[in-house]
Amino acid sequence: MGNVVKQTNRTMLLESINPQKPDFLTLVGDVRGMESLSDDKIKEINDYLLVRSFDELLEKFEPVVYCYYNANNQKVIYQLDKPESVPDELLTEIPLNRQNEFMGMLMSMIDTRRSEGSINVDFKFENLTDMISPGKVMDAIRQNRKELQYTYGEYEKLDEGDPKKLDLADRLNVMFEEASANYNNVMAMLPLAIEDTKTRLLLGDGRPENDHTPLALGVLSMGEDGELRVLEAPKVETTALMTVDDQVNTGLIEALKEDYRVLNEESNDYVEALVARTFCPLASTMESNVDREQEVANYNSYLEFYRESKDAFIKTVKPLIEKLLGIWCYFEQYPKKLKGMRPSMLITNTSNELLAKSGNISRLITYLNTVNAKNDFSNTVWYSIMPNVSLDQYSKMKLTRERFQGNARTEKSNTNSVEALARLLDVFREYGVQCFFSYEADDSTTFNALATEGIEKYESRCASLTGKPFSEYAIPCLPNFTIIPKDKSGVILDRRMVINGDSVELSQEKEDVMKLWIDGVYVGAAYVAAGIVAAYQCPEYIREKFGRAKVDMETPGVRFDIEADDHNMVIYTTMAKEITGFTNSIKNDINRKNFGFVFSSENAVYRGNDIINIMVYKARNLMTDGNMYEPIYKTQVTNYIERVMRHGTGDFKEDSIVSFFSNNPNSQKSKWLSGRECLNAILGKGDDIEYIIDEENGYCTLNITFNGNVKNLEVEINRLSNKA
Amino acid sequence: MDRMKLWKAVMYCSTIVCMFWSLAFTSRAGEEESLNRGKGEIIFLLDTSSSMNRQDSDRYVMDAIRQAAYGLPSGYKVGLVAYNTGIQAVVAPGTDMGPLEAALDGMEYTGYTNAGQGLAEAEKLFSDETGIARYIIMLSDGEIDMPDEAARESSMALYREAVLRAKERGIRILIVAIGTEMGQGMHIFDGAELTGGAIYWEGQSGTLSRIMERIVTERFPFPWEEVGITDAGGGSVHALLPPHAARIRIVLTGSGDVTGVLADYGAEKGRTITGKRFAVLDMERPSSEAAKIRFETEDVSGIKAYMLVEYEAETRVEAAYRIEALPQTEEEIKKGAAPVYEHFADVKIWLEDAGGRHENLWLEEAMEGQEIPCTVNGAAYMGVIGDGYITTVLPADDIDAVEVSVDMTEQPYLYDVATPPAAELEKYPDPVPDPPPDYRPLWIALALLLGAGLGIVLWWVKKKNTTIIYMAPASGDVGKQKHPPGIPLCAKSRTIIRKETAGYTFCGRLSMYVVRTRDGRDIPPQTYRLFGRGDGRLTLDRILTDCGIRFGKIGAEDIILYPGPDHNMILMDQSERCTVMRGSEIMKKGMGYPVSYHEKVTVTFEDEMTEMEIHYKNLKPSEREALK
Repeated sequence: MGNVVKQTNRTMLLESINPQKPDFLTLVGDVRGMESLSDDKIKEINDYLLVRSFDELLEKFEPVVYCYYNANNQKVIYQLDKPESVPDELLTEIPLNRQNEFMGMLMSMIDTRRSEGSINVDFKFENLTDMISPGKVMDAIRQNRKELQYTYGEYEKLDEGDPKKLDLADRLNVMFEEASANYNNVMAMLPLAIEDTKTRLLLGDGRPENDHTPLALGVLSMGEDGELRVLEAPKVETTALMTVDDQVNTGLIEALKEDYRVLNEESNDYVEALVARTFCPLASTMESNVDREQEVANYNSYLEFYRESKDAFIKTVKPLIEKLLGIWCYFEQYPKKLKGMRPSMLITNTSNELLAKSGNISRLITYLNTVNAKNDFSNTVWYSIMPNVSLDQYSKMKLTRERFQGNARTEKSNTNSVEALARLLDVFREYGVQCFFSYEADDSTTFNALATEGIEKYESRCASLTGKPFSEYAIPCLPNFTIIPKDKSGVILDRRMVINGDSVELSQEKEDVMKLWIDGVYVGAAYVAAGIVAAYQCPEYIREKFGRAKVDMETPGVRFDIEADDHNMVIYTTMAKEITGFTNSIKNDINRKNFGFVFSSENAVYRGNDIINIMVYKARNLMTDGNMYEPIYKTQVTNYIERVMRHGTGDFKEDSIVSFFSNNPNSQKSKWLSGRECLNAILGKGDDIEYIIDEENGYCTLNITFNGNVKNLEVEINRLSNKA
Repeated sequence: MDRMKLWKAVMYCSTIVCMFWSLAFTSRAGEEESLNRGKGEIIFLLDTSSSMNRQDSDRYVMDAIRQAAYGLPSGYKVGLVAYNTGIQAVVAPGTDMGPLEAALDGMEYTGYTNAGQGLAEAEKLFSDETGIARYIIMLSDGEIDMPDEAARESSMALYREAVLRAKERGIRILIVAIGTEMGQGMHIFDGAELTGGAIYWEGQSGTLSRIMERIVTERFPFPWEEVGITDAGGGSVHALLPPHAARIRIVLTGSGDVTGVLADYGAEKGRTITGKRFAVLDMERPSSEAAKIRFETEDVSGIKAYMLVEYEAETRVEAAYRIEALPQTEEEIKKGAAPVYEHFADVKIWLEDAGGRHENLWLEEAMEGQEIPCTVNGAAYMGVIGDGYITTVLPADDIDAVEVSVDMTEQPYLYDVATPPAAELEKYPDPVPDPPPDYRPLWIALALLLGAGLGIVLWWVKKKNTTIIYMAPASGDVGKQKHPPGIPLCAKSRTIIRKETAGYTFCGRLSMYVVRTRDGRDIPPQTYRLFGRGDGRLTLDRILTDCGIRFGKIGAEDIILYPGPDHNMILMDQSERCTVMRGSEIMKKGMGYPVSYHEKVTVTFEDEMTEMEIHYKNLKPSEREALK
């Protein structure tokens, strides 16, 4: 009976990833007259919106940025929503995937920090931020092209019809596909062009500073008297390359040029040559005839344009990137190698303001009525995540149309209002969905800010959500995680190039340093909180952390109290520490009322091992008895028991309830009590459960005791069974 | 020498007379207070001895007797005893002047003077009536004189005895000494002295006419009014006559002869009596305001006139019984205590003319404000005439009648007032304080009405709450699933049965989501608690209004909610153009549909734009407790 609940960590993410993809509201559709959705509809929703890993997210949602150019101001424009007025042929879609250098840079940063374990103040962010500079892009390409050249060489060596040649052909196709991502749009070509120009103009840049002799490429040879000489290489034709490359490279160059021409209808010779030069060994593509002034002007122009476009790109894409990083962090909490109850995420892919509208909220209700109010728990949503909640506790939903001029509001446009959160919480309460929410992620909600300002700010922001029926389901998560601090988010792309007499060199002037500011990247704490809680729902996960003897593999971790004992030192996040820790006064502040789902960045040693990750310090919701906030596990255990009981008692039949709690060894209560020693026991040490049947009202009241504290659960008895 | 003795004797006699007079006045004054002013008995005792021929050769004595007799009030009785050697004539006292006139006409002066026998005879003529004036007016010219001594002594003794008897009976003897031969110390004067009478000397006290006028006006207690004399063609009297009088006499007396008397007056009856030196105008029920008398005389200045006015009246009394409640305190009023009553007799007294037109004599202007001594039920009371009446108020607790007498003796006229019978007081019982109104019949009627009203209201409510419930099909999974347990399920599908909603109460709550509005505004989800709202009828419009949602007239007021059995809510669409769906089933107009917990209702309003969803949900016991 107990393992009827296969998962207790389905999480609904209330965010929009790609507006072009189907969203929750669209998929649920019109629910007029419908109590619930069909199984087919649930399957369709899962097909579109349910992801079990970050890669699945990228695959299903294909996060993308749209790019187009404004000829009037010669600028590039990025947009997350597809501009409907721009023809497709003038619109460039830039996929945000692991290959995206910005995305890659951020993910690398998290990984690096996790492995290093250094706090923000010590971490060399610039080492990673220059990953998006043209030089680093080129470095990556160089690595790729080496492989490309090698593979193509092997391919050419083999005879036609050799099966191995076909295998290599497959590999080449993949490599060409990846390479083509860089040359199928001009923007992607920019770093290539910049590096190409720089390479050609600064060829010989490693010479002594006082040597201003113009470069004339030559070959080292021995004279007839045996002396060494560098002879100027003979020029076959003025535009011809020096013919030192072999047939292999020639074939590769031709293949790349052809691929470029096929992919780009309006190809031009310059880009064609650029592609060839980029993906072929230098020697093969070296052009000896260089118009220095033109090239320097082009270089500076490319660099400026690249900086501007990168800046615009980052500013546009950063909110989406932060969401993606949040999702990535959510999944990161559960080890990839584990095969247990892997967290799954249902992404609504719609804005919360839209979802919380009265006209749409019934769709959410209908969906939850389907997946949470049935005795099939495979699709039950247990958690939800609402990041980026406005810090204004009275923030209202955006009016559809402002008919009268109201007070000027300066709220952020991309935040979720507290009103929307409250509306959704009211629905989640009905269906037992715990909602992890975090406030807007910026430098005011980081560990640093919490360490200096304290927790009162959050408590006061949550005042409007406490003391409400839904408070039990509201879990404020804090602080938010910093991927790149605002003050360390500068990226040096390169320096302008200047012509100094006969030579060309990079300017050493400060104003010629081309730099852009990412302006900080943060991840909402709700992602990580939901991720870690979802992760420890899995008994395998707990077992891996604690060892087999202590874990009941048939039972989810709903009763697992992360705050208890040393649990938070065994189960902690995958996020690297950010600060040295909170002061005692801040911690006292947090402990006084046990407010919120609070992460801590503390120095800790557990069984001789330093913990370099961020740990969970408190795991509480907003339900309070006036003094203390309630641990989140109580709510989940209560929901779990209710669901198991509903399933096990045939929708709360009275006689079944009696047997459910009987002393029979096969009764559910006996089974739960027998696993009392396990870490993830539903009824642990000091826990108990009793029931009282109120015949008059037709209710059964469960008194669930958690370490001496009683929590009530009232379920309506199904009396039809008695009358039948 | 003789003159000196005479004067000494006169002075001596005067002193004695004054002493007697003063004593007599004192006693008379005391008597007069109790004497009836309108009644009296006068006996003229006339000496008709032969010596009178000398002293009264012109027979003025007879004229004086007639003057006095006619100048008295009609209630006075006049008699006559004439004596000489014996009794010559006796006229018993009466009001008819005929016998007196006859006796006087035949009178002769002869014989001796047997005053003893004469007085004794006169004394016998008085009645025993009390409270009236009794006088013997003796007219004589000398001492008792009989033929022999013994007879004289006998007469004198008789005289003395008669005087003593007269004194005992309160009869006063007035002696008019006629002529000049009367001397001091004569025995006959003892009569005046002993009875408190008086002696008048002709000449010294005036003429006989004057003496008689003085006796009448000064000695007798009846009121009179002097009337003025004018010198006009001899002489005339003009007298204003008081109205409503029963009888008025105007008496003229003169020192000399009065002749040629003519009277001008108006009356029911009248006559003029004349003598040598007097004239009396006697009017009954005079109708004129004045009377005028013309006469002739030698000396007008010697004429005197007085007017004697008599009224015949009857006291009238009205007594009205009156009950007056004593004022009550507020506390007594609140307690509903019975009032305490005082009982009064409102007495109204007036004097009515008994013989004429029975008019109120007190309405005359002269009577206004006059104080009239009265006796009301034996108690003296000084009443004051106001507007012709004396009014007074008597406590009526111990009396059943009001008996009144008025004393008009202080008035300037003579009133013969008849005492009326006691005025019965028509008592009536105290107003029994209306016993606290017996409202029982009213209450019963009201209770019946109320009961009937309640019955009607209950019937109406029952009827109002009677809802026709549309039953979902008995067959089919959905129908089975949604079939409310408390409602009988009909065998045939889509059966309509009547189901009364009375006796059920609302429970649960509604979660409401406005899916769409005409103006595109987003209305936050609302929760409306039905639990605790009793068993009434609710409109969706009321619920929306309570939630602060106003759509206007788009049919929400015609979507009705009733409580139903087994915690169901019964929904009825009575609108014209709203579309209401229970689940996926469109509700028929005017039919109640049971909605059970966790069911959803979709309403599209009449504007065809506004749309909302209503989710009917249960309340947990703890939530109900929190609400309580």
